[in-house]
Amino acid sequence: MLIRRLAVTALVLSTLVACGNDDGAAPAASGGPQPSTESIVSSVKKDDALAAGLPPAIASAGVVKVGSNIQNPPNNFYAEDGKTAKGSEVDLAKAIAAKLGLKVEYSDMAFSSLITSLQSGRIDLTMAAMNDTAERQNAIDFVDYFTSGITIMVQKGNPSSVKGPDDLCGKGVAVNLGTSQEAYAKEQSTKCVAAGKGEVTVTSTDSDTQNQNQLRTGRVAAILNDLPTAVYVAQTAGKGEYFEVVKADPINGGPYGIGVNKSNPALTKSVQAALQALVDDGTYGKILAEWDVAQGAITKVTVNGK
Amino acid sequence: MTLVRAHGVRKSYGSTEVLKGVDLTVDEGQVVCLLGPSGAGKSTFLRCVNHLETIDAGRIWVADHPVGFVLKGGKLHELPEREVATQRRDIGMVFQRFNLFPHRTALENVTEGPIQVLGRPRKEAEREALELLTRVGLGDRGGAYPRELSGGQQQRVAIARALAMKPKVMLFDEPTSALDPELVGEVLDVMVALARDGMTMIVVTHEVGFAREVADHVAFMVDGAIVESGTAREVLDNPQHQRTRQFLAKVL
Amino acid sequence: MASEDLQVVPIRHWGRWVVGALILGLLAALGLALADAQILYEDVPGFFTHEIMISGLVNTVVLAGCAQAGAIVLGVVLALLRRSPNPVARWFAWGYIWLFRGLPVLLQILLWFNLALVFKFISIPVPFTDAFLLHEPTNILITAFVAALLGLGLNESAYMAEIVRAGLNSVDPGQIEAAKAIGMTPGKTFRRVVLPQAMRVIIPPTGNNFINMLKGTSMASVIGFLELIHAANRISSGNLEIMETLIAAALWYLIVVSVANVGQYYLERAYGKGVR
Repeated sequence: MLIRRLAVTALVLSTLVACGNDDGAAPAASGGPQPSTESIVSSVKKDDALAAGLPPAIASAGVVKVGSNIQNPPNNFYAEDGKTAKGSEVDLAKAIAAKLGLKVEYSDMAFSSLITSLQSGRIDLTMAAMNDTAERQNAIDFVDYFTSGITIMVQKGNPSSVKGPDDLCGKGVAVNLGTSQEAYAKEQSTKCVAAGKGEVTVTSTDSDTQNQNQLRTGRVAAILNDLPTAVYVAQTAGKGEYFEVVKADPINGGPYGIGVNKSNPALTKSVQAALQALVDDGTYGKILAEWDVAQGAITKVTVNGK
Repeated sequence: MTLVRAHGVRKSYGSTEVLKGVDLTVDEGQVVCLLGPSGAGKSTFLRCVNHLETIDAGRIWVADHPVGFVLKGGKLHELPEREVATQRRDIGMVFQRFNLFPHRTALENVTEGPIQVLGRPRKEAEREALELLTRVGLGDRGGAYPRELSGGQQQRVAIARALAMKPKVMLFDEPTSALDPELVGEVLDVMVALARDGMTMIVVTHEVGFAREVADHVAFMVDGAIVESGTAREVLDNPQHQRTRQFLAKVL
Repeated sequence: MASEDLQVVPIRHWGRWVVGALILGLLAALGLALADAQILYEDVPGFFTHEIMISGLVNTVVLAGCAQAGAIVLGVVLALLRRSPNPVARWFAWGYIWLFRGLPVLLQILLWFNLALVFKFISIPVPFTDAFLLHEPTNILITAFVAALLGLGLNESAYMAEIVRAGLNSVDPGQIEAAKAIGMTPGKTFRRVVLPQAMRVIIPPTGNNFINMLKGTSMASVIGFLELIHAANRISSGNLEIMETLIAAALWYLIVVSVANVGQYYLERAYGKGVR
């Protein structure tokens, strides 16, 4: 009896592997838009005057340690080889470093680990599509480099008919842990309840990939993400067949900031100056345009929003 | 010469006194049997001889060494376990439940002591072990594990294991009490042969027949004290103490 | 008695046939559902053999192996401390077990990873001099691997301490007496008589724990250690084929766990010599 069951199960499993997907002609996923920004980044030259303002430890090491959560296209993600970091922010980080005569050394970790790693000195900068908020400014300083807003992403065809934040009342929403989208979702839930509608069930995880799973299986009705991420995911996941972005104004538009340890003002100034130089000479604009996120471009690089 | 000398040995477990001043002398080549009812303290006393139990008062000397202590500057200094282990090399012990090492073969059980404790080379130890196993009638069972042997066979291996250390005195703690009746004989035969070869033995046993055959000296213990002692003939055939008589009447 | 034999009619086990058919039916339905799922199975083999996935596999096995090995050694030490006649040693061991068993593993990993918040440097000074045996920035010493090793290993050591203690307790005290009687020192007795016999009781739960450890390495992905889950995430970060990469990782987990099972079987056999 046991032999029989094992044989049939084996048959079943081997059948489904052989059958696979019905439209067997589809090639392996290509991963969406893959702009080539190498030439732009490699043409950035070191500015000695700016480099002189670097803290001596970093200048002598010749390396700046950047922490990020490399699971977040198009800002930070891995190429097909799983080793090379790519993305609009990766290019910006490399350009800023090159301006200061430094090389970038990446540390990939969970988003919620970034600020602590900055405070403990494990990394010098964070560059992870992190919103510059007043709360976070209590812990670290930010060099603002981009403007983004919260965008709602739903299943293709929008089966739950979500047109705006108020349609989220009584539904489930997935966000990244410790992000401003998480905070916003909870605020919206309070508003919903006050208006007499159901609360918003907020599921927070450490992983974009987990959140997308939940949306695909219908466990949640929407994902809240930053504008560039939402656009990218909708364009590429399942070759653009799984999700779509709700056409509405980005909510709570705010700056992305490069995080710097508060005890390192020299580095903050250097990064700010280097980035401003890149904005002024057009390199910054070119990188953003290549990645199709030019609508978030800034003209003046501020620290902590000032 | 006197090999074992016990004087005024006392021991208590908590508030219960189990040895109430035991005196015993064993000369070289002698066989001494300790008889008595259960709970008399015979096994406890035996285990004090090789310091498996510690005594609260009194002294025990084996071959002029106070077991568990060293005499220095007129005082008796307690010895750490490592050094007591060295003293135990001269004292062999055979247990009621055999206590063979189950993860070793019979031969390995016998060679364990000589190789690990005495540092003998393996070949030499194995040769001697084979001789000992033959001597106890198990020369062809060296490769067997204890679970493959009968109780009587296991106990004989245990005797060989103790003999491998070439001890000066052998202690037997009710060696046949855990055996099926038909297996008792083979073990007693080995012990009788050992006695005739001149080994000094202290045997705690219920086997009165054995005592009569080989014991030079019999001591009868009740409630932690020796109440009667003498030659085998004296104690067994002509008991004086009332408790001795009661016990022998039941056993014989 | 009749001279002819009466014919025997055996019981027909109809229930078994029904249950069997039901199970096969369910499996077939499951198979069909999986086949129709929106999963690109043809990409799985590529992810399965992807260079980064293999790195993740190697790292997972190395981390689990090192953490378990360290935990076993520490566990033996702690078990002995628990049985020590020295009360301070006993209380220390009890406290250690209470703490490292009580805190969630993920928390322990994060604490070690962020140790630099408390100790900027790890230094071991040579007494009475100005020199140091060791004086390094904490973040240099405590890499993601080290943090994961400490978090997983120390937690496991607390469990191993209890497993080893149970194993040591299971050895018949008569064995120790027999070893003493042939003049063995406490050290030799422990190594040659007690520990080998304790292994029979220690190995099955340790094997169990090791399999948990293999899967527990996935928590190290939070601090960016490249184990299997993180490898799968890396590969899918660009192409968003999340389920496909996770299936590939899952296959590797199953393979590694199966190998561990086989290893445990042989280990149990080796220590079962001489005992039924």
